[in-house]
Amino acid sequence: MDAAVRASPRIAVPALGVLGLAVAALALAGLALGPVEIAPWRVIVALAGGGTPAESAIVWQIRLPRVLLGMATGAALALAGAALQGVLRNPLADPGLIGVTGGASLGAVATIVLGGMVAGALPEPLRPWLLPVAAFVGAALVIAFVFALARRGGETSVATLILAGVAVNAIAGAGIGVMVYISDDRQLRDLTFWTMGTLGGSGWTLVLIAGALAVAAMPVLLARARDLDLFQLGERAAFHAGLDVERAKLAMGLATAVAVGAVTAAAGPIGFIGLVAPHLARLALGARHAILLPASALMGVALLLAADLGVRLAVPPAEPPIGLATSLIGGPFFLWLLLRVRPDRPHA
Amino acid sequence: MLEAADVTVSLGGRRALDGATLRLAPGRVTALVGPNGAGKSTLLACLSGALGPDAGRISLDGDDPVRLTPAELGCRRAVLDQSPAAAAPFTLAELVELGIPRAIPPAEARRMVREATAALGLETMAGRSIHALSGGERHRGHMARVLAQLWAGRQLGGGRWLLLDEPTASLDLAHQASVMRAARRAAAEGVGVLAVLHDLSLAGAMADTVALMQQGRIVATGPPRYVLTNDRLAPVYGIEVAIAEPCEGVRAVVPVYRSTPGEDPCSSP
Repeated sequence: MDAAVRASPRIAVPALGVLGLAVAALALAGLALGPVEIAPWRVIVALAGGGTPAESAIVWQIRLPRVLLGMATGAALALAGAALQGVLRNPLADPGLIGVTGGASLGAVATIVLGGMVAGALPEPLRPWLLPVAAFVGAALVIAFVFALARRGGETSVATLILAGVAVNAIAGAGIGVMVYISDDRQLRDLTFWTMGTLGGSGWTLVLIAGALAVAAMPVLLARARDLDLFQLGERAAFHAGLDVERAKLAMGLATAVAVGAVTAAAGPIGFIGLVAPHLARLALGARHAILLPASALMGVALLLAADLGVRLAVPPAEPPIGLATSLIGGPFFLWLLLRVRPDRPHA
Repeated sequence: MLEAADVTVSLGGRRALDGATLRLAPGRVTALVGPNGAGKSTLLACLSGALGPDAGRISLDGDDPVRLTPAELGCRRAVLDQSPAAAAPFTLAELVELGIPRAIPPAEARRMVREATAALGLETMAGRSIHALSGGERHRGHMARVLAQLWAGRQLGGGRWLLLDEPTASLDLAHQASVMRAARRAAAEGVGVLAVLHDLSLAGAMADTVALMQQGRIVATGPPRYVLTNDRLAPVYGIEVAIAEPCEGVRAVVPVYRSTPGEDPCSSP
């Protein structure tokens, strides 16, 4: 990365403001655009409780949960990506690529197929939590494995991490395959749409639960900006500089698992946001996590809302799954990064 | 006082430290020398609190360092690792600031960053990305970060010990001198300094005390003129050395490559 274009805090704060405005504009567009177009000011009227019953129903029942889930998903995946890249000192540590999303997906799929047996034993108000909790457990197991891998080697190379991700994803994929095989017709339909990633399929209950969990995890990650800066020195030097490395990894690992688990449960596996958003933020605003983390979150929200608008407007009224759109953009980006990152150096 | 008393550590089935005893004093620079694998870095890791001994005792101003929190340790002592590296493309000023805990007010932190970069002769490079610096500049940047940590620690009631693991390994002569001068200046302000050094002449020129290690224990400790002699060094390193004192207080150690035993290398043609 070029030295001359390093951003100072003076341009970082306005840049965050611009990103915030872009997010607001995209959210408004997400509420206004679709098969039925509603003027932006009518959207605001409907949000405030006014407007025609049709407008109100479209905004409140169809588009608002979708936009909110998009915002939670974009922010959670981008922050998780930035945090994992920071802890592992590895620019390619995307939750999808290293298998965290795969673990969460296996947890969620197992719940969709087998959850019926457990859900009956749970009190009614707890049942909607089963899916996000199972996804969290899957994500947490993979993160624990990846962190252990990083500890054993002292420093994980890009190649080790990606190969471990390939293996984890293969195992999760096999597990999902087993679940698909034993699922009935209705479950199979649910699974098929879910595994491609979509923001449209969730009702308010799941959106609120996933959103609340993701929003609860974000401050934990945002508060660790300085810790993530110190992680860039390596774990030994970070410890020497006064960081409780194990506690920081535990807090960030749990928060990342909560965030990824929650949004994966609600939206399905959505790839590459955790890779692309932090990289764009880093290119524009530098490596300090105090700025990188909020910038990544906003960038993730903007990317996901834009991708969702894209799939909704591409071939209306059909809606290709958003996971296809993020992979279509993210895949080539990943290839470009892979060719650019020198394998003998830990970081781009 | 920072001291190791009869410390034993096994790493991977091998006894890395075998009853090592070393006492650092405030205001003095101690050079820790010895052949590769003698246990120098392991001893430094024990003194820094990164590694707990299997037997023996480490005392950091009366406390067992592994019982202190990392934050307390970071306040009491600063450590420069053997090959420091930062993965992210921080600017040099950002790198140095990493040494300073949040308890220090921002204005004070900025002043420390300025002074620490200046102390290592890097003041013109504060805004440059560390990935665009030379290896030597980057290494000095890490030394500046450690100095800043030491100064910040002092403001918080600590900052008494500075541990340097091969601080000059990748540096040319002038930059070796700038790093060692910074260490000496810290000692002049009352800090106890330990530097693991491979260059015995550097130890002879810069240290108040030289501690010689062999196979996990300290075999000699004392002023350079006492430790840096052929009689002590030859059995430890397995090679004869010639000693010169080009000027007062400077002791140069040169390995003797050409001579056969008993022959005076300086008289050979």
